[in-house]
Amino acid sequence: MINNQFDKFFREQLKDHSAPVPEGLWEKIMPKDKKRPTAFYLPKKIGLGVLIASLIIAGLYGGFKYEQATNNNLVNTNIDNNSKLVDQNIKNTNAEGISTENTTIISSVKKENNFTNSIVANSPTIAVQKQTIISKSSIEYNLTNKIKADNYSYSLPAKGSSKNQTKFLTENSINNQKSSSATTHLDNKDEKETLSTLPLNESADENYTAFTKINPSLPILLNISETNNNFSLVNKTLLYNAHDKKIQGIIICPNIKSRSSFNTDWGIELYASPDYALKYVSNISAPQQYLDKKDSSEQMQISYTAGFRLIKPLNNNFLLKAGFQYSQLNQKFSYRNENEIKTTTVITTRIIIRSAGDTILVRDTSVLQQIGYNIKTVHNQFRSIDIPVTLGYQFGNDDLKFGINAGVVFNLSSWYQGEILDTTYASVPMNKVSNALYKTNIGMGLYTSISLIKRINDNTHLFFEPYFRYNLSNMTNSVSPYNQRFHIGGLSVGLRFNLNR
Amino acid sequence: MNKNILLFFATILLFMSACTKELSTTTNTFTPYQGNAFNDTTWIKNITGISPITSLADTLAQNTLFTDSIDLWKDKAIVFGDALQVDFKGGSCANNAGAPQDGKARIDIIRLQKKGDFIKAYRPNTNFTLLLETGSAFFIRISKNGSELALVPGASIKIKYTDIEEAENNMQVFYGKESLPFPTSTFDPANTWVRSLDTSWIKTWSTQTNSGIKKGYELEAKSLRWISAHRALDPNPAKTNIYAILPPNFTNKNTEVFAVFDHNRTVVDMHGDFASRSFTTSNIPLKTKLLLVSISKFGSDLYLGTKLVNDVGTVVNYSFTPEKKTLAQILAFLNSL
Repeated sequence: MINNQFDKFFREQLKDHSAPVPEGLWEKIMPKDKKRPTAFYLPKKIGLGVLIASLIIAGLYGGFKYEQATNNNLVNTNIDNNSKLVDQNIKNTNAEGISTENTTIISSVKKENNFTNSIVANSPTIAVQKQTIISKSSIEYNLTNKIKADNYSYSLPAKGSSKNQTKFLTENSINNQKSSSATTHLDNKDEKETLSTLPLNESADENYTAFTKINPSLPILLNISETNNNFSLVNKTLLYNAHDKKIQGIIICPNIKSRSSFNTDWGIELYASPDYALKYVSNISAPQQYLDKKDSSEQMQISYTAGFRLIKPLNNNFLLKAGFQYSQLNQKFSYRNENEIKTTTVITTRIIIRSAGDTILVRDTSVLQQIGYNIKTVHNQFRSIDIPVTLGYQFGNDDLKFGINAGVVFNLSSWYQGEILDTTYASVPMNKVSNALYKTNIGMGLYTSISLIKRINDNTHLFFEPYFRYNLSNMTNSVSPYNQRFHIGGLSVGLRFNLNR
Repeated sequence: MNKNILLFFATILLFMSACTKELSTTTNTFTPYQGNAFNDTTWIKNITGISPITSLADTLAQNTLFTDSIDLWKDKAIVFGDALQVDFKGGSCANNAGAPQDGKARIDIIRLQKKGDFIKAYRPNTNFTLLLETGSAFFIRISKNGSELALVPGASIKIKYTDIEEAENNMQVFYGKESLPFPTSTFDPANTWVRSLDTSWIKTWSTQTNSGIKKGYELEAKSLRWISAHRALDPNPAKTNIYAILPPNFTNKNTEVFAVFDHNRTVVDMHGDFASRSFTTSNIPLKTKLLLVSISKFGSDLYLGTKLVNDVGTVVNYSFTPEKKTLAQILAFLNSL
């Protein structure tokens, strides 16, 4: 009784009292919120493509596995961490008003501009029935203690009798100032939970606030973000995540800012890039003088690639991409032919004298010949159609993301056009029909890239992606006296569109 | 978003369709060699000794040279087969100072018979601007210890030879007037044939041999070096100037042009005319059938051009383009004239 009076006294005195948020509180919170794993080491120089790509692929695979493991442990980790925090501020007093056993409530509170430093849960009700969770809550928070605001997780024993039912109560005064309600529908076919209404009835015991509930098989992660208590939006997000991730019994409350996050269903990237190819030639049986002459006659120029990729996000960070692209490598072939004769038709007019006093004008058409050297310049084109398949890892905030990608490029077809220098030092044409040196399929190549992705709007992102493609096979065939292959670097610029939104 | 995607794919399709076209372009950048004689199209007013035409004349000087030794104090009949005989009288040679010479000496003889021989030796059949018809010509030089000797006054040598054509009765002895003594330079644009002071007709002869009748001339020369049997063409027919017009590469620095008469053993040099950038000569009788022959030299490359003129008439300018030939080809052609 004394305690009740004491509590009542403070409740009356602190009713409608709100404490200002200390300056710098949220600035301290935001960096923590933004802190993201920077993940991978990026080599400054892209050297041997095979080694780097292999390392990247291995890294991505390991990272992916690690990510999966991290996600699986996330709930327990949050529970543990937040339980410790709550233990400092919340007293578990009573289990009255909770109608189900073995409930666990995980509440994560992120930066809240309008947070009043007090949390009061007034009769929150969360209902779960089969594929639907209905959450009705009237929650008023008035928390006087300083809260580091990141996550508050509250853990209840997984199983037990009604004695084990747990409610969390702040030791500080709790006032019911306002209420809100939210209704969430989860599509969970496997769940056959009965409808559970969990009144956190303050009238039964107004000195505590129970943050929930609920079901031994349905741990709930509740993430309350700062902007406002817009639980309808929270629940919408809950719906997406629960549906997509198909994690039974887990309600993940993502950041409310997910309104701008990338859609996890499908996406498409449309891109084009200026390229520059590096030519590698190794000798088989050709004279070195010929290779030198050939090398000096060929100069790679700016090339380009265009295509599209379908994106299937594997989770928030990993993306699987596959697409179709067309590439054209441009090469300038210049060869100097000596002792060339250039002929020019000229018309001359002369005055001739047939005899004394007999002068006539003679117009003559003749040919002027000049001897010199002729530089023949041909723009060779090496074209190919490829299928790139890559695995990407991206991180960052919603407006700006960074990514790293690796994968393979399968060549479907290659064809060439232009002129090359043959071993007799004569320029010979090459085209789709007459091409004795080059393959029509150059096989597979390794692909690695880093990307910078800038959000334009909810559905569109602009990305820049420097990349390097390392071809594993020679483009020359077996009759060629030398081996030649191209490795390509470029900067893809394109747009990423979210699909199915 | 959908519009953007459709627009992108439409662009890609357009791009792919454009890629089926042949986009490869070929450019040729020609740069003439600097200092190459073939690219020199300039004409000069005065032919100098260093012009390519000098080298050309020396290159073409491929006439047969007969050489023997004589005793300057003894008579000797120098016989070259059955076609040429030179009778030398002893004590007829003196040095430049006029002192009679004795002892051994060398005699060199070049015979010009065909029209091509006169081209090779660059000795056209003209007396200044007067056209001549030849009955062969000779270059006879006697030298002792490298010094060229001359006939003493009153002395002579007799040249008896078989001609390739019917011997004419109205041939006269002509001597070559040189501005550049052969063989110092074959090319001598100022050379001409000057009739001997002895205007008597050259004796002709004929003899029966196993192979038939041989006919020829027996001329008596009172000086050495260039000696010939010539007669003037008929001075009465109407005459005209003719012009050979060659492409701009062929200038008076590198090209010789001759008019080779068809019915007469006459070769006329057509000199370069700076004003009209053409090669010309005068006093060509109308209705003459002739062959214009140009020989050019660019570096080591030789060009030969020909133009047959069946009837010199109102059209007096003839254009033709020389073609690159080898020296052997040119010499063979000249020997066929």
